[in-house]
Amino acid sequence: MKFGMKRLLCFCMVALMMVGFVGCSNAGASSKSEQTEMKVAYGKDTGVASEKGNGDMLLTIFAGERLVEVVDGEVVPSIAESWEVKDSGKTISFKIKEGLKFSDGSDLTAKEVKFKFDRNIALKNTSWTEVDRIEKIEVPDDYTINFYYKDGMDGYVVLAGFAEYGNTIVSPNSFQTPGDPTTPMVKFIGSGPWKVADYVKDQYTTFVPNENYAGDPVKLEKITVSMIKDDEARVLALQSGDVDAVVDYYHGGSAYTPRNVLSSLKEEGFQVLKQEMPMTTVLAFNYTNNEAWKNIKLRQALNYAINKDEISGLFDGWISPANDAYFSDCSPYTTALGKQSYKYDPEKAKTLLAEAGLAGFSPKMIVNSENADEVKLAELLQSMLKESGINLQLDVMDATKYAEVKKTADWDLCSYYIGGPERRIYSRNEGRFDKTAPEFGSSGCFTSDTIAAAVQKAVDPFDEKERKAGFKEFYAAIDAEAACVPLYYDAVFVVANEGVEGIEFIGSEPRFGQVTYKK
Amino acid sequence: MLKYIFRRLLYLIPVMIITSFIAYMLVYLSPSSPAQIILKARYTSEPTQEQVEDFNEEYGFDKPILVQYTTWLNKAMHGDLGKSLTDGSDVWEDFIYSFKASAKLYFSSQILALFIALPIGVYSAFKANSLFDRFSRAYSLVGISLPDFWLGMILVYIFSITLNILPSFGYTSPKNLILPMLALGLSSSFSLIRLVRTSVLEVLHLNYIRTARSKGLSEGQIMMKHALRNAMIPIVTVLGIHLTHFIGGAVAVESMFAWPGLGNFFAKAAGSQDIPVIQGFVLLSAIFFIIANLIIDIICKQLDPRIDFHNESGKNNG
Repeated sequence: MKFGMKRLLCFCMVALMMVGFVGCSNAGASSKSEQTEMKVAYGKDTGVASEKGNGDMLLTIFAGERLVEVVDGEVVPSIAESWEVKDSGKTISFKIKEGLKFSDGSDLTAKEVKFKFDRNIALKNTSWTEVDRIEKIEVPDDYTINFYYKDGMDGYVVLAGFAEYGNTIVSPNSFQTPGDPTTPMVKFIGSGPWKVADYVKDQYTTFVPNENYAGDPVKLEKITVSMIKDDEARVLALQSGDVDAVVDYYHGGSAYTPRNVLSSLKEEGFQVLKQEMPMTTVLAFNYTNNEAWKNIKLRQALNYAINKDEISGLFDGWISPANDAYFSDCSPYTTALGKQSYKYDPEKAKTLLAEAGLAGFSPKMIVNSENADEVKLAELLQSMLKESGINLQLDVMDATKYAEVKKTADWDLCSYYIGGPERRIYSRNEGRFDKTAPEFGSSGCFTSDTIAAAVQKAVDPFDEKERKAGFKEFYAAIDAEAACVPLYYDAVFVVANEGVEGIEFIGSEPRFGQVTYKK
Repeated sequence: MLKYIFRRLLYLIPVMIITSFIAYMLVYLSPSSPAQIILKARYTSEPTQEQVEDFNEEYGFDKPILVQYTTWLNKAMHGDLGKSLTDGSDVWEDFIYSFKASAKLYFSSQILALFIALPIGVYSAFKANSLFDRFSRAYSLVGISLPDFWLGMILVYIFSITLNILPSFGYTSPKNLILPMLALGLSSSFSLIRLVRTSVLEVLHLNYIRTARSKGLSEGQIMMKHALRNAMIPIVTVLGIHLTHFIGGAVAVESMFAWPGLGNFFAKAAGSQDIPVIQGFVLLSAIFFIIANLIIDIICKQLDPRIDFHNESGKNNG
């Protein structure tokens, strides 16, 4: 008994000590200290070493720059301080800023810019600059580079193409054989605010400040971007404190934080930063392979049959339903320039189907099983469309099979996207709706001569007013022909610890240059 | 024995040829093309027809399948497994890197599984139908029903989020190994407990154990000297089957903990139709499996000298 009492007393003492420790630790938590490092989880490898690629988007934004950038829909200077389109659109000439250096200290002049485009031409990496149409590239002096196009360049879309991720300017020293653009890229030497200090494929990339960066210096001393492919695992890593922030794939649409955990993360005290992008997930029709979709009544019926507010519910309300314009209000050329005519009306959908002679229509939708949200969306659409008498058949398959089946006639519907990251808004819309664009055919969005002509008016003019008028016409043409069913506006999210400050979105891309972190 | 080992090693040649050929055919027959997938990732846009044709010409995918296969086989025979189509890295070096990561995870988790399963399984067998036995059977039954990645999430929740004593992912420090090892080890131990119990129970009813008891040997001596040795044969065999965890079977756990093992290595290659990597993986895995199974056979022979390698058909085995 005496022994038992002793044990009880010991237990009580230990318990009291533990409570004391907890108390102490809570007291300490209130005083935050300035951090010099930050850890970020990301769902993709940054691709620092690559045989023929250009690195992942995050890498090219962190450590690279391009001749120009696209901000708020406008092409703005970056490595180039100005540009001029000459010879009736056959030549575009860029003036390079003087005194620029790569992160390894070597000079960044027009010669190095040419080297990058020589590589893209050699590897046939068009990257929306129409390099296949480039007749020659000349460097008349250290700070001028001229691109000559065989039959003239298309217009603003080509200028904006110089802001593409694939056109990030890297040093000739980045390659296996320095100066040989056809050899694999073995390290990434760019001119962005950060430089790569360490990289282990499929694991992590360490970025440190690039002391040769011409812009404002970054505030942190180190950012480690860890690749965690599993969406849930990235969230667990944040909750455990192993990383300080989780960033969606810079393109949007894949490798993102599951939307249905964002509310609980916010309740736990994490910051949830959202940036809508000019990218809309749509229900696309296989009209190129399937005659039925050429009937506008069928396309209109689908537009009336879908309740987009319900779709938003799939994402716990974090993703906005595409109820208004064809893109969200994140980009000046996408706001209030066009509204959809179709509001949820299952009865009208039924009537249209009957008029089209397609009552009891049973379309097949292909679904990529590797995207859980796409599967959930398809299941919701299946139940929703039943109300309008449409018996949707789902064919769920893995990503590789999906990519191949999509090129065949063996499907009717799929979810896809129009638009993209802001720097891609022009090229993506052209690629989706203009049959002559190299990328055309992948989306399944319906197009016509009217839509194709309208999209050219939206993406080609150098004059902003003309471009805006073109976008208005383009949206009206999509709407008039019910070219697709816009479902929801995509967004990029960053979830970060409470003490992280200064993450800013430029376009749809989160930047960490001015980030400070107190922990 | 040496003759047997030599004969088994000779099997390597036809097995390597057949497995690699089947793998090549499966990739070839798959509806998707490597060019489409790899170029889309490379250029972050849909490739043009010209880009696809150039790609196929550059890598020889425009040639007949048999020509492609024999070209690859010829190079493989000379030790050149080629380079990844996605990032140009050397297939052999990447395989070895992932192999080492998998080896760490597999061996540590299986040792842990044995440490858990052997004492619990043996004691359960000795105390069959006791409260302990019932509890251990229920424990292993519940455990078998848990997917390993789910177990991993629970472990992360306890040790990384709640207690904050172990990292939730990574490969840089020895601490990173603990949670994936626990997830895989515990997962394997659940089935091993049942297997150990059944094997020991079977042996305990045999005549030689009865004889040992009648000679007055203690239960400990009976267990260590007589029962466990014979009961180990099916256990070792099952551990061999668990080698699938090594070669890609632990992909969910590896993905969950960002562990750069063979599972992740193969899943990435298969997803991008990276043919040289897939082929290299299949070939090296086949070699590994044959050698590993050979080692298991040799261990079994050491455990039970009655096993006759020269009489694999089972004739005259009674």
